[in-house]
Amino acid sequence: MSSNIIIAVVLLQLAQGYYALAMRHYWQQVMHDSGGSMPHTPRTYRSVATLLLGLSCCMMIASEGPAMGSLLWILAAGGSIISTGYLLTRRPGWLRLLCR
Amino acid sequence: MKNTLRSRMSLLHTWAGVLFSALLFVIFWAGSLSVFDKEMDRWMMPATRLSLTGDAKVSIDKQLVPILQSKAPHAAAWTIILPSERVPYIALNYGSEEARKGQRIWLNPDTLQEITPADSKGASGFIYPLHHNLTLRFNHIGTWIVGIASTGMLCLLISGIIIHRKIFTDFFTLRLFRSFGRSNLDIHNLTGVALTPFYILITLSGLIIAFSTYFPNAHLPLYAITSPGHVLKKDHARPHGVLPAERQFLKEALGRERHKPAKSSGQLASIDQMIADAEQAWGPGAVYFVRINHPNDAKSNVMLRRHSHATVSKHIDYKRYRATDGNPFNTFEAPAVVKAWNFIAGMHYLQFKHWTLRWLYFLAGLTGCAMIATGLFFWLNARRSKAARSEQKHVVWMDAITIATVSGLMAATLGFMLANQWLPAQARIMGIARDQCEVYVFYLVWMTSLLHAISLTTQRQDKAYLHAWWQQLAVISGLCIAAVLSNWSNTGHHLYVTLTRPLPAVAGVDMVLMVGAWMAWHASRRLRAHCRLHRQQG
Amino acid sequence: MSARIQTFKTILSSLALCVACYWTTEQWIALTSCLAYLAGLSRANAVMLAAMLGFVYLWLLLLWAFAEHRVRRQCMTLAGLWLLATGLTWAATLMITPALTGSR
Repeated sequence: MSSNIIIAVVLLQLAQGYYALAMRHYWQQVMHDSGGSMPHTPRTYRSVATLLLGLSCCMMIASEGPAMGSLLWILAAGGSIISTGYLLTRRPGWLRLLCR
Repeated sequence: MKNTLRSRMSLLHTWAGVLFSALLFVIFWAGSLSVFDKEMDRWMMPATRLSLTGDAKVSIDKQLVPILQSKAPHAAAWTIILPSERVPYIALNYGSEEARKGQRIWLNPDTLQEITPADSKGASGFIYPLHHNLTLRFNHIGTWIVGIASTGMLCLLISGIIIHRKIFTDFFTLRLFRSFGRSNLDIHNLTGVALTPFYILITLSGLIIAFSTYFPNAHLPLYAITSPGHVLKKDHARPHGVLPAERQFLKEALGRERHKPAKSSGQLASIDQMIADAEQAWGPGAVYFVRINHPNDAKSNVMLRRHSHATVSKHIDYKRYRATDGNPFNTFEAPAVVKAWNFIAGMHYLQFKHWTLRWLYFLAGLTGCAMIATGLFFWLNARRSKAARSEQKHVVWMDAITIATVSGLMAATLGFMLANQWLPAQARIMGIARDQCEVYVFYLVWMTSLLHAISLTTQRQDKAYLHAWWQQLAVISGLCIAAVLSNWSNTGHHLYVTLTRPLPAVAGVDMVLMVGAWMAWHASRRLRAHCRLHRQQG
Repeated sequence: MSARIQTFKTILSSLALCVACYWTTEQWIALTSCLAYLAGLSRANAVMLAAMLGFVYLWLLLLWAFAEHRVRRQCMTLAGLWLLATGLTWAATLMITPALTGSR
């Protein structure tokens, strides 16, 4: 597995994390004890997430070619959604890293 | 109930789910395993566990043709499949016009020593057919059943999205520590929504591959006019009863055609030269498939195909050479739309060389299995709590079917692998060949699982179905461990050997089995504890 | 007993709906292949394109048919689509026959 794929997968994971944080109930789930309001608007989080999503797609396509890159991206995106769901339920605190 | 779009889709989702889920689970399970069918073959056929060095260049003229000449000089065709990373041996096939690959010889590419036939169907000979035709080949019945279930899957996916009330709000929601019903539905929704593009892609591509079975008349409007034989009767003069219109279509679209022999003897020119010529156009090492039609005939021809390792598309292009003088006379390159079809087929067949993608396909397939199983659990859980005891007969039967489908199928697969390890070589049991015995063991274990599930779910004891679950999961765990140990004791290839030698295919299968054993044991233990708690409380 | 009859009727009508959708799809595949040929694609390409689109037609038709609760409307629409495709295919066949039997 090339380093480009690993970076793209990390970007995908970050993108899904930011999408989750853009939703108030997930935000509250992540910040359950420390509280506080969102430092940025949901739109900002969504914009960052979309940017990261696009970037990861470009990286995979650049690394593996349009056909395999897009296939890889579809599957990795699905995986990152599931892992974000899992993180939110098991380790929501980890997503606090993205709020800084 | 109001006749809204959501209520209609809910009905469709429920009943199509109940009807097709068990079948879809079998298709998805077998499909997921087929992603690694060649690796399972190496596990099930120890003689083929070869490390391809790539140093030895085989000469077809000097080393392979003499073998075929001595074995089958009058065969209708010789087929040579050159070794690759996943299939590290040379396969020689020959046979009559009706069964062109009827006989097979496998050779070690380094030593050219014959490999003793494994006498096993392996995963590519059983699990893969189970995936696409349920091993029901008569009149394409199996393919039709799979096609109907796949169309049902497409409807299930869209109806599932429509009935999901909070698809965006609950996009990442996975409440694993709530009640069973809640967490089960969350798993169903999350695995369903996250991989919907993959499920659509894989289901639609699976259907499109077999378009000629599902829409057998698609070619008629454009081909019947020029090949009118179709409306009268089958042209029995042609082999395999393919009608003239279809034959013409297959020739133009997929390049399928057969040349008649002259029925007079002829020489065979250098095939190595032909490969060298083809590889000038396709790139070095591109040719993997050589077929010599009507060998030793004056009108013999040699067809070369290239592998599809570097592209998603499954190449169907070929070059034909006159066997007598080695001159090319026919090159087939798929037309533009057929190339698109090849690409779609390639996405499903997964013949390209990309290990990350292969593992992701495998995991996504298993996630699909989880989605289907949790859908079934949701239906059962909802009915179980709603229906009175007297009305629960259908729930009990559905419970048994679900248990047999999910855990029974897994146990049956492991039974198939264990039978492969323990049936004596060349054994015949009551006249049944060894490779067929493996398949019988698969069905026997599956039936046993169903009977076990029925015997427990029909008991009047509350939550009896949970006993069936934990017991079968415990058996699965044991079978996984037994499979790993059997491989070790029968071949000496334990994990250290397979990782260091290296034999990645065998190591991969063993590791998946060990992970499977841990997961099944963990689930079994949790369910058993739940049963005990329930008994103490009750 | 009436509940059983109702269930039986639902099963039968669902099956009939599936078969009707399949037949309609077959006609639309025929029409698509003729139109694609008229648009300049080769025969093989036209048939392949139509067959691949056929699965999308079937998928959409089934979803529409099960989303529609008015039986009369289901029957009329499917019959209408079938007739339309059959008629247009017939007309298209007349147009393409000279090209097919000729030099193209």
